[in-house]
Amino acid sequence: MEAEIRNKPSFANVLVRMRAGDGLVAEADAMASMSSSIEMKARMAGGFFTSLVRRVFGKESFFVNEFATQSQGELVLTQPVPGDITSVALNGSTLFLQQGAFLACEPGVQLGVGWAGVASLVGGEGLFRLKASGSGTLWFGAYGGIIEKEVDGELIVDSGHLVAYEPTLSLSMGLAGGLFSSFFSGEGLITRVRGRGKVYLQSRALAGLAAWTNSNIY
Amino acid sequence: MSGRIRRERAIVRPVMETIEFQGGLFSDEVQGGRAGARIRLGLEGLEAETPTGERFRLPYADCQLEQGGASGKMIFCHGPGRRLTLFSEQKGFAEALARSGGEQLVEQLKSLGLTARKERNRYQLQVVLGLVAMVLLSMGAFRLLKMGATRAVHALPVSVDRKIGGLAMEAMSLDGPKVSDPVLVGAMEKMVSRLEPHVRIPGLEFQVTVVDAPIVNAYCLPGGRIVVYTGLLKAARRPEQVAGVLGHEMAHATLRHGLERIAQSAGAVVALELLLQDVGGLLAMAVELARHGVLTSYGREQETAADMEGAEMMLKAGMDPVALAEFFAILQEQHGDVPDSLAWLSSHPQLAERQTELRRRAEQSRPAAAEPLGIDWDEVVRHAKDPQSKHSVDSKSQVGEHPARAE
Repeated sequence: MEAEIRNKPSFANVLVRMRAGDGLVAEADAMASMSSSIEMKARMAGGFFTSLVRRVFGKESFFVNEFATQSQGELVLTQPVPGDITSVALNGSTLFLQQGAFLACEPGVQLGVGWAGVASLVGGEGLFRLKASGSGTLWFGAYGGIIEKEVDGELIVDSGHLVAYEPTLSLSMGLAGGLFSSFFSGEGLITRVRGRGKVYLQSRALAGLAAWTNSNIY
Repeated sequence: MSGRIRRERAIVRPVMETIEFQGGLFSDEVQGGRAGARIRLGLEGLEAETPTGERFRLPYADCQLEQGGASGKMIFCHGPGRRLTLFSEQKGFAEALARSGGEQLVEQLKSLGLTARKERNRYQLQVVLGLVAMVLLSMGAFRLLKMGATRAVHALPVSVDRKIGGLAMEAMSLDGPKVSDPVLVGAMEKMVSRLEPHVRIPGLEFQVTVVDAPIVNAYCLPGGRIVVYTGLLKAARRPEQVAGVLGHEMAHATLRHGLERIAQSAGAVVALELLLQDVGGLLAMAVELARHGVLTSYGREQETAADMEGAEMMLKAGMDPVALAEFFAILQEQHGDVPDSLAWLSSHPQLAERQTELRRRAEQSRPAAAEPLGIDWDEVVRHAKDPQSKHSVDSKSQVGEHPARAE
């Protein structure tokens, strides 16, 4: 299987060239087009409870689609928001994804749901996070560009910009500054990322767009 | 001493207790600098193997332990210069390290446990304090918003009251047919005409609707729409008592208690709109509150204020406010009072308390000579028992409603 991320970074999509015996798991509604030789099958990702939690708390679909082919074919995957898509090769390692980021993975990647904590909920990042582990390629997307950053120490990220991170990193919520600065600077809550590991950030926050749109509607 | 062990040179050691954990490692020697790994606790050190077969070894003597990660329970074993770090958060990893790693690791793990406990306690305290502060701040902000909105309604033009009164009148169920009996309506108009010149704000348009129902009640909607039930007329013994009730109800309109009631019931959005003098939400809420009969139920302070304002209007109109106290006495006779033990819970002040207050106010400035209303009350009561000209409740006609103001 070969995959190419095209139209980066604004309207990225993944072109997957599948060969006989290849398989791919993708988020429901991620498929933009596919060859007629590719078969698509919907299934729950990781059992009923995990799928339910994924749907209710992870803002992901209850079902994922499994693509396979007996010959060969092309598949184009995309995400609902304009922005970049990136891939990570999991090597027995784990990556946590924020709500709605997951796009697709190879069958060797297991999808689960992990408890993110009350602080994460307060920070607007959700009570649960998607956990991708195992071996294989994982594709995920973001709104805006994706910034990959190696952390060794501490990094402060504005809420809504964190897309994915390794489990070796700890996250805690905090105020951007003092009480006054936090509320009047427009920064509000921030996420402190501590430890050693990799984070993936998005250059835009969807909540920011929603607020801007609302303020211009009325 | 840490480093990669080539597969062909892997040292085979006699291991007394080999326990395996799922975890990972950081090393520049693997692609991407990290990989998942199976970690074994051997006799002299930790041994890790990646899914692609690369093996690493970290002697216990070189291990610097650290706790952290997303779960806060991940144990990191750093080698010298952090060139190799092995980690796992699998249950039992710390205990196994303590068993296999000797005295030095036991001490480090104890220290980590204490630090982790302190961190956890500090974090929990911060979360609890943060949540309490957020709740208190939100409550305080909401209360301030409501107070601001309650005051802001007094800055609205009186036309808003009239609009709300009209909408509320359409939305409310009257519980009986409207009556256009000239004796009843004429008597009400006469009372309202006497009181109206003494209301504190101009622009209200008082209109009386008499409804035939055995309910001892009357109310005045914002803007001046008054509803009087024949049950109340039958209960009164002289016209001044009813005039006292009307004065009290008109006072609710002049003090704009209906608008205050809406502002107090409003959510944050409507309250904010009110502060900005936007009445769209206010009108919608008024209809809802009227439909559920909440618009005309006032708080204790508002009732007391309306008693006093009504008494003032009566005094200025040449009537004795004691008449209202007399009517309260009739109510008390017929229906009893709220038990003392529940007085706090009652939205209305105790009837006995209200009578005392009204009598005290009348003592202070009773009119030298009360001017009689000149209404044949026996005739009014006779008509109240069997009113002429009833109209269906569903009728949307204005029959039965009479502007008290002489145009």
